[in-house]
Amino acid sequence: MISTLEVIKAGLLTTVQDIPGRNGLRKYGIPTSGALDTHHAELANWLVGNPMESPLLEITLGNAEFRFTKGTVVGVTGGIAKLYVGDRSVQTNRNIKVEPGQTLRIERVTKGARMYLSVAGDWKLKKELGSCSTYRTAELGGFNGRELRTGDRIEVDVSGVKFTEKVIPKKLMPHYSQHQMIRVMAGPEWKWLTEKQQEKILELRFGVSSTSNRMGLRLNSKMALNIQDSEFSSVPVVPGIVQLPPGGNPIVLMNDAQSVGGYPRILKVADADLWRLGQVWQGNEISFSLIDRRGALELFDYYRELRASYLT
Amino acid sequence: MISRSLQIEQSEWQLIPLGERALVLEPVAEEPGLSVIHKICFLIEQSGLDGLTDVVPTYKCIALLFKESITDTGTITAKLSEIFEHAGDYTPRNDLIRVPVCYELGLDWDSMESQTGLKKEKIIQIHSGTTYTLAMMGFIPGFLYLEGLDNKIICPRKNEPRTKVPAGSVGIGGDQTGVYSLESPGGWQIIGRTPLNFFNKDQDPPVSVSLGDRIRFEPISEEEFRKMESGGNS
Repeated sequence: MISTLEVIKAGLLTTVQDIPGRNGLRKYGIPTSGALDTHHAELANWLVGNPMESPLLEITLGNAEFRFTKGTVVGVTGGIAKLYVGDRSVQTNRNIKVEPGQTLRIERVTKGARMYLSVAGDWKLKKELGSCSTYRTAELGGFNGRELRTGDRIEVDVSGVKFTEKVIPKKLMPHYSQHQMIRVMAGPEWKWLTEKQQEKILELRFGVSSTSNRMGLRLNSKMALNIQDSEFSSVPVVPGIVQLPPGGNPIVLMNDAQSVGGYPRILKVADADLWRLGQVWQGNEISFSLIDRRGALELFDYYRELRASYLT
Repeated sequence: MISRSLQIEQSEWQLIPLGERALVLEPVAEEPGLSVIHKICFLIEQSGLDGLTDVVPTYKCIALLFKESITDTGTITAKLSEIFEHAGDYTPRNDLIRVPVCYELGLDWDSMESQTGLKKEKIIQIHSGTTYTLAMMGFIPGFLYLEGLDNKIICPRKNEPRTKVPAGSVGIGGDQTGVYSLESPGGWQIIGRTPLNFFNKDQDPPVSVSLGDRIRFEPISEEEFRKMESGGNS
């Protein structure tokens, strides 16, 4: 049985994403894409009993509304936002039963930046180059390679879907504050900076620029960080790399970022903290806290085990 | 974490971590040249490594991306050493591809002229008078990085990257020249546009040119550009 998700209001930017996105194509310049906040995307799929790699919606800043033609089970998590099924106020972070023809409305996000909407069942979307993730620059994946708009319809096979109450454990829910401390390790060109410059970068509170997007989080330093001799040929980069262009405003590369880049790679955000950047927005500030590679690996394993222990 | 060195074609290589899930294979001393880089990529892709998802060549090094965190570089080094030892011959592709460019659609002629001290016409003459080698792809799908830019027209990237560069833009970034196949942000000095598109998601592989191919730019008028663009010529 098919339940069609109809878009009544799409919000600022709503796209289909999955985890882990596209792999094996970086040599052609095709990025990974996929959900920015993998932590909540996984939790959303867990809420509705879908496999972790199932497609779902990433809704930037909320302010979106959907209707389902048939009864189904959905999960909404991510930032903090009010949620309604029809006129009834419901909670995020738990699975929700939706009756045929009912609407699901997510109000504007008040903390964090992105909401994830999962729908139980099998999404009838064609994978492109190995993934359902939307990559708009190349009109790839998702719904016709683009963001969702009013009137768009996505079919989900809801056969066999059953509702058993599920709630995301409190221990797995982040505390959102206006200022986020992000753990990083030294990047290949960190040693190009003087000790003074390094200290400054680790002390600064960077503002998040309004030009940030799924390719990169652009940071404002308010102070000149200019480093000399930064002209060098393009080198490999991965999501989480912090580039420092000559202007001195760092860019943290995100999931839709390039495979190679020409700016010094001063830092690399720890994989364990990368998802947190999916929840920052202009007006937020971030600081970097330096750890070593071993520390980053341990942190990643720690969170993975923590998640696993609560989600059994 | 720098592992012991690896040898191939009289060059010595080492593995350096790039975050948790990637390693960069880079030359210990001298730069070995593009043909060795391309050969190594070919060899590693042919043999495969456990958990390896991506092999990404650049001018001077190669990134190896893995599915999971890398904790044991020793095993990877040993496997690479074995691959290098048994390396056979490799003949790179070297097709000649002619790329029409409308230099009138360049966006950064002022900074190009002031940085190089040359007139636009001279820069065009030099840029279109050189045969380049496709060194790598990346940045955005189908972005072609070309080796062989004449020293006289080297120009630094822009201090603040543009948030939007039109599809088909031909640019100069430092000592490189290249083609933006899709509209995207970008920090290179834009000197023209080509109506050709090198990226097609419905093709396998999705990019129609290969590492090692030779590229030559041929100046066209804006009228010719519009005609080819609307003709869907790609």
